[in-house]
Order: sequence, then structure tokens, then C-alpha cells
Amino acid sequence: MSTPCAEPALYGTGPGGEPVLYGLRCAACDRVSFPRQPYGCEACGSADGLPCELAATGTVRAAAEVHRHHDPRVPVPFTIVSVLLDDGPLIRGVHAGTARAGDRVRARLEPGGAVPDLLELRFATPASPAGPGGGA
Amino acid sequence: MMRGTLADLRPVYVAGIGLHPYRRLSETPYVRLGLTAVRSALADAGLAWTDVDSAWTGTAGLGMAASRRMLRHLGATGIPMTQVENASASGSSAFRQACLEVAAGLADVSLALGVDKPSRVRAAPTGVAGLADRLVVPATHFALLADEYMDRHGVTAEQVAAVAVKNHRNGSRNPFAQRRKERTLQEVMDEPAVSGTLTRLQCCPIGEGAAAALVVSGEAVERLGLDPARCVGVTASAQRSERLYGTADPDTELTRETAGEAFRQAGITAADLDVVEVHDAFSIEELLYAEAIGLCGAGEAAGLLARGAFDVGGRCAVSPSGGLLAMGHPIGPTGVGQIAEITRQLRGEAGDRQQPGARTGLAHMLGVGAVCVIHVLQRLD
Ligand SMILES: [Zn+2]
Repeated sequence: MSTPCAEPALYGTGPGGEPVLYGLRCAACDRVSFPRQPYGCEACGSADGLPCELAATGTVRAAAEVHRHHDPRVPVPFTIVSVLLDDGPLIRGVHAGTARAGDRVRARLEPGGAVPDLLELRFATPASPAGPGGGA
Repeated sequence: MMRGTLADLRPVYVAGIGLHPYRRLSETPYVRLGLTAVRSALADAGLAWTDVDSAWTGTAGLGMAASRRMLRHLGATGIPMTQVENASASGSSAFRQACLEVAAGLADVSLALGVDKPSRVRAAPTGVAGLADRLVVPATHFALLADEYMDRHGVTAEQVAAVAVKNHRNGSRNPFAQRRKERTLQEVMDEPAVSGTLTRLQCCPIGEGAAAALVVSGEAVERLGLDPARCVGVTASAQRSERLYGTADPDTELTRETAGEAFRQAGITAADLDVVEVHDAFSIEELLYAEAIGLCGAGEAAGLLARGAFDVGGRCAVSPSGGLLAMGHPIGPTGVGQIAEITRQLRGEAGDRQQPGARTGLAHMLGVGAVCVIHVLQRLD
């Protein structure tokens, strides 16, 4: 049974150990997208996508504290944020604490999910407390 | 892009409407729900089943082959029958198919039916998931949009919740609505929070039900002796799918584009609208789409709502049926149910939720993915 939260195929660490998101740059039109997919570019239809790594830093566009979730394995409450990445795409992810529009955030990789040894990607504002097991 | 429009073809009308009340899941088979709506629509139009040339059934959760296994009990006439699945817009797309078939001259009378029972519907698996897709259920998606809207326009959570107050008031006057209880702002706000500032009553109920509309040509009105005063014209049918809109909300931008196309077909503007039914599955959506359709400028909907502009009796009645929030969102029926409400309003038969003098109405649905379907209906006398 995998943790209902983490999508470990979507991220990893860069050369300095910092979290990175696995994105795609279209070889034909240069559009940068996330997550990576093998099918073709939404902007131009080209099937030539080049893997790239996106910095896991950005600005919170919106936040919501989730109080009810249908999957009993997911403990509530938790916070979901829309983040405009510094590298372009607008994405959604888990925030380790509470957040509000305009906050600068940086992702960190944290243990503490349902699967031992699996690091989950969570965004955090510089002042927000470390999650279980501490920050990466 | 589409090369022609409904306006290029012969005129089409809604001649009959019928519903099975929307309600929580029961033991009643879908066949009973659907037949109730169809028989009611036939009686409303003064048509016999043998007058119907084709049938389109909007459904997302029933499984394969829903139409004929139900409609044979009206008499196995051999007409073409097709299921239409377009997520939440399934019923709207079924209605569009019926309109296009009649407008093209392939049929004189076509049935658009929506019928569904709650089931574990899932979107087709693409093998591609975002970071938090398993955590971001629809309520959370719209809670994020609500947060962004409130932040951008200085709107409060109470002003967003006021959509639910209005729509529950409308739903309390609709005998087919799943939620028929008026709610105060306090009651809406005191409900448990689901996600962000959205409380339970700001999220639509998904139940069972059915809705039917009979689409006819002008020739059918004459040939079959229908009452022209109770026939409402369908003057636009627009359907689009999402493009890329940068970091703007795709559903809002898609709605803006699709509404623009519908207005061009009908030769009207948003200012002509008297009644509008929108995809208000969550309270924030009504504010976003009222603005995208052009009922007002960006950030103005909350203030206008507070001043009664979108009430029955206001400048333009929005969701007079109660909308998805109070009438309910059984998926397949929802889009056809909107057509039934607009038809009732334009006929002047909506009783104590009647928008005075209503002549022009618009029905708007979105389906996840995303697709958008908009129809404009008008009194043509
Ligand atoms: Zn491209």
C-alpha cells in the first residue's frame, strides 16, 4: 500500500542536494510544463519533450486548509497550496504548515508519510515549523 | 474550430420538459427515473412517443447501453438511441445533439434525456498525475479558487457563502430540488468546513434523478398541432474545450470563450439575459462564471449578489432552479434540468420563483477535463 500523498516519481534532488521537480521543456516551442509526460506538448503538439529540472521554489497563489477527505489514510487537516514556480508553471502541492497568498515558499523533502524511507515533497515558508522527522 | 452554427440551420424549439425529482440515492431503478421524466415531457408537449424520431441520453455513471433498456418500455419504435458522456456536461451535450439533429433536418422531434444514479465514476486514467492530485478533490480545487478570488478582489468568505443562501432560497421553491430548505447566512457559515472557507452547504449534493426535453422543428409544431406559445426557441448551442490560458483559471476562461461564441450565434449580449443557470457546483463558481459570462465586470459579482441583482426579481436571475447547489447535481440530468428550468421561466410557468418578464435565458455547464457547453433560449413571439 503506497502512501496516498507522495508522488516520488515527480521529484528528486539537484546537485546541491536541494529538491527539484522533474519538468519538461518542449523542443519545438520551449514551453516548460510540469509534471513530465510522454505524450506531447499542449501548446504545439510536438512529441519532442526534453526532460528538465525545475527549482522547487515559488510564490503562493492560493491556499486551502482541507478539513475533510474521503480517503481515511489521509490525516486531516492538511494544507494545499497553488504555487507559481519561479521556473514558470503554476502547480499544486502540500504545504507543511499554513500559508497565504503572496508567501514565498521552498520545497523540502521530508520523511513521515505512510511509507518508511520515502521522502515526501512539501512546500514550506521560511518561518513554518519542520514536519515530523525534520526538514531535508 | 467549428465551421457552422445552429444559426445556419433551421430553427429549433423546446416543446416539452419533464423531470424526476433530484434526491438522495434510493432503491428505484434508473429506468423508473428516466421514464418518469420522459412521460412527463411528452405530456407537457402534447406529443406521443411515436412522434419522437431520435433519443440522446446524457449519463456518466449508469454503465453501457442505458437508453434502449429504459426507453423500450415506451414502445419499441426502433428509433436511433445514443448515450452521451461528457462528465458533468453530459446532459448539456445530449441536448446539443438533439438540437443539431433537428436543426439539420434529420429529425423533427428529438428527445434529450439525462438520467443517473450516484456511482463510483472515475475519469479515464491518463497515467499522468500532479504532485497532489490524490489530495486535491473538487472541493479543494474550488477552495483554492475562492481563496484567490477573495484575495484579489477583497471579498469575504461570507460574501461567497451568500451564493448558497440565494440558491437554497430558490431551491426551496422548486419541487424537483434535492435541497428544499431555506438557509440563513449563519446556517451556511456554521456548517462544517470542507475545504478552505467552503462549508458543506457551499458544495452541491450528488444524488439521483432525471430530466427530459423534447426538441422540435417549426414543421413539427405545425404538423403535430403543438402550442407555439409554449415552444421556446433555442438560438445558440456552443461547445468548446479548454485551451491554455497561462496562469488564469481555465474553467473561467473557457466559460468566457464559450459564452462569447453563444452570444454571436444568438445575436445578443450578456445585457439581454433575464435568467441564467450556471455550473454552481461550489458557491465560488457562480461568482466566477457570472463575471466570465459578462453579467458584470471582474470582482463585481459579490457586491451585485449582495444587492439582490441575481435574485429572482433582480436584474438577472441566476440559478432560479436552486442551481447545482440546491436543486442538485445528479450529473447526467443536470444540464437537461437547466434547460427545463429556463424553458419554464421563459414560458412564465415558474410559479413563485418566476423571473418577471423573462424572455432570454442561458444555460451553462462545465465538464471536468474541461469542456463547456452553453445554450441560449429565447421567447420568439
Ligand atoms: Zn510545444
